[in-house]
Amino acid sequence: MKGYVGKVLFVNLSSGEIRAESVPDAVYEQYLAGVGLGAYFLYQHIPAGADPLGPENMLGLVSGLLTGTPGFMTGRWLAVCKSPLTGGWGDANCGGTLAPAIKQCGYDAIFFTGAAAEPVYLYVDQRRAELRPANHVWGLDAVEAEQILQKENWKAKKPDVAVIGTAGENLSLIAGICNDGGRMAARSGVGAVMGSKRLKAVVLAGVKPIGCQDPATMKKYSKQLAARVRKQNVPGLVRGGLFPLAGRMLSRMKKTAPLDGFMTVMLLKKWGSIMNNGMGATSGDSPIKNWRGSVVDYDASHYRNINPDHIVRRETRKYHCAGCAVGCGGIVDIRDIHGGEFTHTHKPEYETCASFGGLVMNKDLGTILYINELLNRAGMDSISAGGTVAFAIECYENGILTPEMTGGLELSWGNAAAIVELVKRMIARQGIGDLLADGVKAAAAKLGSRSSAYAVHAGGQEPGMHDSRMDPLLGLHFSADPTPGRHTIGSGQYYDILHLWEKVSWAPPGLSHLKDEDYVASEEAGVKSVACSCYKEVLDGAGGCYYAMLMGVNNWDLFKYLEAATGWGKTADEYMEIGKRIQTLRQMFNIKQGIDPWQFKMSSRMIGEPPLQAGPLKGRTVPIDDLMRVHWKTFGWGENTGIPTPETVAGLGLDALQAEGV
Amino acid sequence: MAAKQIPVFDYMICVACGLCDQACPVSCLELSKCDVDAYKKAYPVLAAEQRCIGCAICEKACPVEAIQMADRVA
Repeated sequence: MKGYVGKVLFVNLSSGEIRAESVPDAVYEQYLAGVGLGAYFLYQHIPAGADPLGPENMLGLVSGLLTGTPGFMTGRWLAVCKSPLTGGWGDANCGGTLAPAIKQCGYDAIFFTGAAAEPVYLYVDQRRAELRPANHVWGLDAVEAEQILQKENWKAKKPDVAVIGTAGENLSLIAGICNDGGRMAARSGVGAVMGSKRLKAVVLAGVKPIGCQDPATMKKYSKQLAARVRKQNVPGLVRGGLFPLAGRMLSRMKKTAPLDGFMTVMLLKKWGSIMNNGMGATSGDSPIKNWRGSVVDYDASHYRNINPDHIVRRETRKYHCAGCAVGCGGIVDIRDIHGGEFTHTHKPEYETCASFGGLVMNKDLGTILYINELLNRAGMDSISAGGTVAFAIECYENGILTPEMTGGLELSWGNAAAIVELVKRMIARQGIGDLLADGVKAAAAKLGSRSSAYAVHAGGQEPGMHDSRMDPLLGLHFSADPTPGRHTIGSGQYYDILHLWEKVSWAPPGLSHLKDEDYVASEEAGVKSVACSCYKEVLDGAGGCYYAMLMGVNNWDLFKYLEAATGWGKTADEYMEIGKRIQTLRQMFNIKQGIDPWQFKMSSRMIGEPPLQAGPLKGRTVPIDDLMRVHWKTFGWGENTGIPTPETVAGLGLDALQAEGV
Repeated sequence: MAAKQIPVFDYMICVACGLCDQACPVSCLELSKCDVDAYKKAYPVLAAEQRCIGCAICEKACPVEAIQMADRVA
């Protein structure tokens, strides 16, 4: 074995037909597994103009090439489909234990088409795959349904379960797919697609070992990494309350320079992603007050309440994705919140703390923890949900939403009780919640054009909680990635941390430079953004973790791991070419589905039009049109259209697929 | 029948990645030992010894060779 299994499963939920298909080695050599394998099949199988919530859409659960091997930080799976939120390529990434479980059943991916007449779940192990009735768990939240299905199907190995909550059942366009008691593949509306197929869950109980070409070498690399991770610890004196100070210092620096990403390990070990809670506010990274405010509004009297130490104190244990040496997750006790409705929740990510913190001007940590669990159980994306609540508050402030329309809810900034109630109504699609359950773009379309100024999104998807006005290349990826609004693809800061120039011949070296230079759409900016894009696709093809990516290839060498797993003899440049192929195919998917790449350009506020009048990002505007053009041109796509040129398509060997797929 | 050999964990090497638990075909391991380090990482233990079949799949799956199969103590 070379890390991958070499087989995928197709399930037609309309007819009930289930068939396994072998995949030639050459496909893996061109697309890896994970997102690449997903793009390879979805491009061919989803017809142009397919209704994302119709039977023609294909939903895939895909596992990474390195997942389950001794390669650390490779336990990620993706849900892939045509997104009902953007109309283009949709994917969502999640950890936990599900990713290796797919391969332990003997498949690299499971693809669903059609729609079942009644709710069903798919049971799979290494010997069989069958559809079973799911009426008894339909209507339950993701945690309850997972526990029941796990218990029912636990023979020898405890099964892993991918499941939708009520948000997915209700076809909320911001619904995700959950596993491990509330982890979520949250983005792109993948949960709505699963709900539209009346597929409640996928239960995986396989026990097949996952092999690779050279496990001894992989273990050697992992042992070296583990030894370094073990020694990487935050000095005891460093407290979460210091981060806002660090953020303030960062915001005042005129220059930026390459960093060693390994220092993030100690922060992730102690706090996880919430290390950015206060620092994001003071540095300008966290969007405030629906992207129109700053730390001047969300000041210390607010952000000190979401100090990461307050959350870590509640931690009863850490939580790891399978194959992770760091362990940034945790389980936190919330028995003292909201009358003890829930005993615990997964430690909220920074994204959730920011989207239900500064974005809506909320300073009540208990509210964030409670909403975190509500959304995890409902299977609703916290980034999109927070963005939509912020939109609703601003609509209320400007008289577009009235007390009659909100059912008496006073949607003012930071009104924690009203925010909780609104989230509950969105989950239940009750009253005003029904209008908001599909995200800001759909809500603005219903409320009229005056509201569109408050609908902050890129191509229909609410952006991650990192401000593009602080890092223009982040804004570029928000706008130019085939899955828009994603903060995990690339940025100027990411580039400086990735150290790709140490492995990839064409990647320009990261150099100390003035921040002002990042606001120019230079040719080098195009090369850096393309490098980030290509590397992210390799990462998602391998099943790698975003935080491993941010350690930098100088510390976590994805290319070496891939070589040890496959023995293909490829160079880093050749793996980056695979990344380029996957990214180009995802863009071709969008073109096939009728997307004009310009329509994914981020909202005016994210661009800085008009610029902020206060705070660390005062006066900043992103030259987004020029950046998109230089990015597309560097990729070998039309400079003014974003459409991959025939030469690029042929050069990447995608012309045969294009002939078949369109 | 109970296995002759069972896994023994070296917590000085183990990083609690959980791949052993994931690989175990009978789910006899559990990530529940939270007193090894100050972070409260959940390290593996043989929670259901009677279910262990001594297959050594966990040992093979461990990326850092923190597991050794050892004779069961009667």
